[in-house]
Amino acid sequence: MKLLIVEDEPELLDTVVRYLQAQQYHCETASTYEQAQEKMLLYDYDCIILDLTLPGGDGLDLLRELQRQQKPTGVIITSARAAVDDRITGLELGADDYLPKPFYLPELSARVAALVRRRHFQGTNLLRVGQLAVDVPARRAAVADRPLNLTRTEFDLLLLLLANQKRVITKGAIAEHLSGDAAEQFDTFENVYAHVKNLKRKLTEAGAPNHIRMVYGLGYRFDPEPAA
Amino acid sequence: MKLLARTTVIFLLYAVVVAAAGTWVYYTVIRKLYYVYVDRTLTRRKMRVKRSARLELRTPADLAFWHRIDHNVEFVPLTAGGQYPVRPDEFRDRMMLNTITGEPQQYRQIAEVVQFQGQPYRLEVRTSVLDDGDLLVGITVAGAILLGVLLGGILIIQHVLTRRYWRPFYHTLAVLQQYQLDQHHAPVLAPTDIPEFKALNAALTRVLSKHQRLYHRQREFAENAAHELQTPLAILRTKLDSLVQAPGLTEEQAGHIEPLLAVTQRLTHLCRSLLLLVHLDQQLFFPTETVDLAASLRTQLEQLREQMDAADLTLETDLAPQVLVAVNRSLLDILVSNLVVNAIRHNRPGGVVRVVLTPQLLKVENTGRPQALPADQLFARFRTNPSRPPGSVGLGLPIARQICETSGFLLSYHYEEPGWHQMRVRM
Repeated sequence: MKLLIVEDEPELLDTVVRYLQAQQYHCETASTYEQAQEKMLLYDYDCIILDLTLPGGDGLDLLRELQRQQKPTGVIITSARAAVDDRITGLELGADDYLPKPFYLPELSARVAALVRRRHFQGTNLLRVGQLAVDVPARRAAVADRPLNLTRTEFDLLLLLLANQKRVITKGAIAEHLSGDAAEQFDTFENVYAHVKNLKRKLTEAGAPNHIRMVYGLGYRFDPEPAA
Repeated sequence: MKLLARTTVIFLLYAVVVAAAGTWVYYTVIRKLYYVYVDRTLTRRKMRVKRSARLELRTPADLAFWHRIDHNVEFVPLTAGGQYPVRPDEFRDRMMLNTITGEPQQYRQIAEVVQFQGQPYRLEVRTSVLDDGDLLVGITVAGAILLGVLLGGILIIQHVLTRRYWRPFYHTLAVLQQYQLDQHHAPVLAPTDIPEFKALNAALTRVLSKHQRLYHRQREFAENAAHELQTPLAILRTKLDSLVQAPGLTEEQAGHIEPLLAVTQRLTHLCRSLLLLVHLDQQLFFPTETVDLAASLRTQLEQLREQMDAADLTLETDLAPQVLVAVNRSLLDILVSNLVVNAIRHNRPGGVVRVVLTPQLLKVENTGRPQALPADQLFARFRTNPSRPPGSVGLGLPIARQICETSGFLLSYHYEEPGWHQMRVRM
């Protein structure tokens, strides 16, 4: 999977690239409007992560150009501009997703994964981790063909974990993923704890190994092959 | 009373006074002139009569005959040897019966004692004069007509003036009445030739555009500040995300990272709230659509159920099946969420959140401290309040209020015994 990350802030670019590379994505970068324009037109990417405020131009213009060229690329806008109309314009110009800054890396990773899945498998794809099989479009999961009875929230949680395997996902990232902006208004992560506990219980009851580990109260990590 | 009406009334009062005084002056002057003329005529006539009596008349019978022909000349015989004051001209006014019309008539008379053939006579020469009352009435009527014309003219002129010369003033007034500091353009005042209005408009334009510039600059500052914070926050957050991945992370290190995550979360929320407020203040265009408030409420309540369970709260609802409002969907969701979150957060353990929705009114109530909250501070931004829970940014209700303003709703706070705090949104 080849990604183009367009971001003018070098520190942010570096962190995002490292995180996504660890998720087995091939990442290329552009930090100015011209660089991004050149790479976008010369190569094909599975997904472009696009910052809107760039030195040399407006990211929305890049989107317009992409639309003119009819490139089959998925685009996720990450922007510090939180204006409602930017979001709408971006989505109208063919962007697939809009992630306002500041974002959590696991969230970005999950959005990229979802986009790539949507674009590449035309809705028929099965995520497999050991005995665990997840049919994303049908929103069904099973362990060794024994179906799991997951709530909507638990399924979303599972997808987030699967998109960030072997990475620690902080409780804040999980809370925001599960309940959106409302999460910001509460300091307690008890819900996160409860949902993870339920998911773990259902997985173990279905015979799966203990994939999900808590890391020092910071967050949780999904290990595809847990050590005993 | 309008300024113009006021000046008109004063003008009119003055005109009435002048007209009344004028009538009196006219009457006095005209009467004086008239009498001077009448008296001169009488004096000359008397002299002619005296000459005619000396030259033409022979006997006292002639005197009586003259009087029969001309009633206005009369020789009244006086007793001889009597002492009569010799006053050459004795004028007096007297009423006499007019023999033809049979009505009393005012006369002016001049009298003099004359000698005729050695006998003293009092010669009276008179003429009928204009009745004083008639004169006064005539002048008053003329004055009244004049005054009427004057008043009518003033009213018409005033009306025309208002419509023509005062138009720039009323235009400026209308513009100012509709003026809002947060509108995008400085108001346009109509050009005018009248120096006072020109000066007024120039002064207003200067003040308004200065205020507007200041306001815009301040708003831009808030917006830019919030924007500029987003990128450092993004770096902070992603670096923390990377930090927790570090192999060999110790529990002690994790203990340091955790509060950093929480603080970053709070900063993020603060920044987003500020940006939203700035955008609401700017009255940026929020596209509206028809949204079912009841459905939005049900969704939000479902999402917040866990938070309520965690806080051991009971939810009571009485929702109309469908309430359609024309509003921006995202804003409505934020409004509903803020109100319900507020009701959860300021509740007491084991308390109740009650949500009532009718087609005109949304009520979100919660149990809490048994005293009313100061309504004026409730919607203030960054209010420092002992009841503010830790972690709260203090912008939830200000945002709710601003959304209501933008959407044309009315948000108010009510307190009911015992300990019920109620937020009302009137659609």
